[in-house]
Amino acid sequence: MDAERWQRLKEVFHGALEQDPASRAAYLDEACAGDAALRAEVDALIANHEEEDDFLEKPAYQVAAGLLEGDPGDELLGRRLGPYSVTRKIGEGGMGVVYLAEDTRLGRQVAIKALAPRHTSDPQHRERLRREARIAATLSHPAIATVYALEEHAGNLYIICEYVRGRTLLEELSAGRLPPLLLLDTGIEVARALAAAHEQGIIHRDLKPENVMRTPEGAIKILDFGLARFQTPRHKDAPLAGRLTGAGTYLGTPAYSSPEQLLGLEVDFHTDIFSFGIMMYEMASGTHPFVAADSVTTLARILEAEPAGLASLSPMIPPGLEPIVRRCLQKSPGQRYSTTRELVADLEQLRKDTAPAPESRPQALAPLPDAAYAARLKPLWWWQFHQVWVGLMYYLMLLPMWKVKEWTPGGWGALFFFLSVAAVGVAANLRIHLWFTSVYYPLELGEQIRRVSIWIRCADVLFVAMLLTGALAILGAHEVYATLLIAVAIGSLGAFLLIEPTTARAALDRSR
Amino acid sequence: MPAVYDELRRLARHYLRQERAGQSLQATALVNEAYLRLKKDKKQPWHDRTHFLAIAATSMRQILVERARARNAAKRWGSQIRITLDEAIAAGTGKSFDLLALDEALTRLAKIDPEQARIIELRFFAGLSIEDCADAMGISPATVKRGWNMARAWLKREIEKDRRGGC
Repeated sequence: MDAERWQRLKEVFHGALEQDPASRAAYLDEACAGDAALRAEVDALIANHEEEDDFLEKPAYQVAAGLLEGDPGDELLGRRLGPYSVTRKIGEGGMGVVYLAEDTRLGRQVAIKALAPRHTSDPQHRERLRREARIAATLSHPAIATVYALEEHAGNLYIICEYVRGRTLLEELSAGRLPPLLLLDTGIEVARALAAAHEQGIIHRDLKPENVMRTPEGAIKILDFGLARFQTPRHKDAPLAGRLTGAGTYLGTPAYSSPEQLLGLEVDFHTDIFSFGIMMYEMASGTHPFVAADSVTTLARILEAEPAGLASLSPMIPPGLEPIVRRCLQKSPGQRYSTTRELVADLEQLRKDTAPAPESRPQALAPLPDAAYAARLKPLWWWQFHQVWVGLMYYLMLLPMWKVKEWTPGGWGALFFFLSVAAVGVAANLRIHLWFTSVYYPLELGEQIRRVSIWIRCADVLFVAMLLTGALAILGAHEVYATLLIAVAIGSLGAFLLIEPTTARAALDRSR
Repeated sequence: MPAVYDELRRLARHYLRQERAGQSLQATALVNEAYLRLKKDKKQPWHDRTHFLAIAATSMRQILVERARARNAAKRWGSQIRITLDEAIAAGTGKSFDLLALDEALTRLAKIDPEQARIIELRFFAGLSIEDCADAMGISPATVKRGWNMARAWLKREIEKDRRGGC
């Protein structure tokens, strides 16, 4: 198709579309006079254009969603894989589906990771994965989940590794930052494991809170060590760890990758140190050092921005932690710790300086996860009491408000009462709602308070305004009553402005 | 430098607002990769917003095409060699999608009419509206609409022709 012909085609096509359908044929007859081939082309194009469909109407990321999803498979459920009997699905990770299974020979539980088919199609890639699994299997450390075997069945690859019971650091972090001693002890355990692996030349490459677990006995276990290449390869040596979402949502986690990983450059053990730095920052402060409103900005911050100083985020953080984390988070690998042992040494020294007591195992976290979270989050009982008390008082106040309405003639009285009911309704019910949330959904309390506070404040202000208005209205006829109303108004103001914020803050400080 | 990736950020936030959470995660992942590739490729500084958007759209197209190819390769090794029909365009209804065929046809279109190919890239791969596209390309929305109409019709035809084995 040469340029001139294309131009003609364009002209005729657009010209035809500008006609209404009835006169189109005539227009085309004239425009394509004698050029049957041109006529045929335009007719075909117009026919395609007229078809009612959504070809290309929806953007690529919607239409090609199948390409962007992983390849989850539930094929193994309830089946056997060699000597392993699959019990149930544990979850879906970056590599594919993870199952809980039993090794029928040894009678122990194992985790089976089914790798997505795209990893197994290229023979060279398969060989590489086998080598990786062999190397990962040489790691033997109490804080690292052991890789037992690599199985191949029906053209698919499966990694068999140690099954770890307990909670991930991700779940722990959802309850807020860690108390100082627990923070340091956890960091030391993770760092020691990293150091041992690094000394054997093995890099994790995908260290993040999801991959670090705490057993019911309180011990730390790092998962998926040295298996990062089994994830969907995007850049050479550098899978994008974690998923990125906007702030404030429960889905996904911010990236824990180092700058060199993100840019697809050569990585070595320094990348684990960077990821470790991000984790320490998060455990210490409860926030991600590079959090942002959108994922692209998070990536940009990892690459270019310095995180806010740890000390400014909470007074509970041991001051000596800041320089350690800062050194881990240097953009250039060469400026981070030159050996992981050094990092361990610094952390151990900080631990000694923070409290001379011997290492403590966090036995308190042993019980069921929900009870543990609830225990750490339980607001002081007098905040709960305050909420219920104020709620009930509000309801009681409807009685005197009704009296004011009776004493006030006409429409004003009704309006006054209506507004009072509205204020009471909002202020009382929202407080009861918060109390209820604190008892049954303690994890969501912070979020609920954030969302609901503004409405409670508005209702409180409206209520006080109604009290004063009512008092003024009846001042002439019922002085005593009016005085009472004014007293309540002043008392309420004091409670709302002074007492309530303080109790709320005390109740919500999780790092006790 | 911050101003340069504003567009990708805007896209990321736009994708975040999509109804289906699963889709938004995927789309966000796509934008992130595009951003990182652009960051990595220092040899390609962008002159202005238009240029940048064009590069971003092209980048996203490349990513999707790569994955489509990998998917196809995996399928060939799978136990079932049957070619899944759900990946070919059902006649004229455009219900399902063959991304690789589109990519090839689009490459051909770019040789004949670069402007129309660019419109398709910006609208389909970067998800821009007609107004945004016009803005980015420095042409009028009416021009975009016309180019879009024709390119769509032409591409549909080309993909059909390919599927039937040439004309």
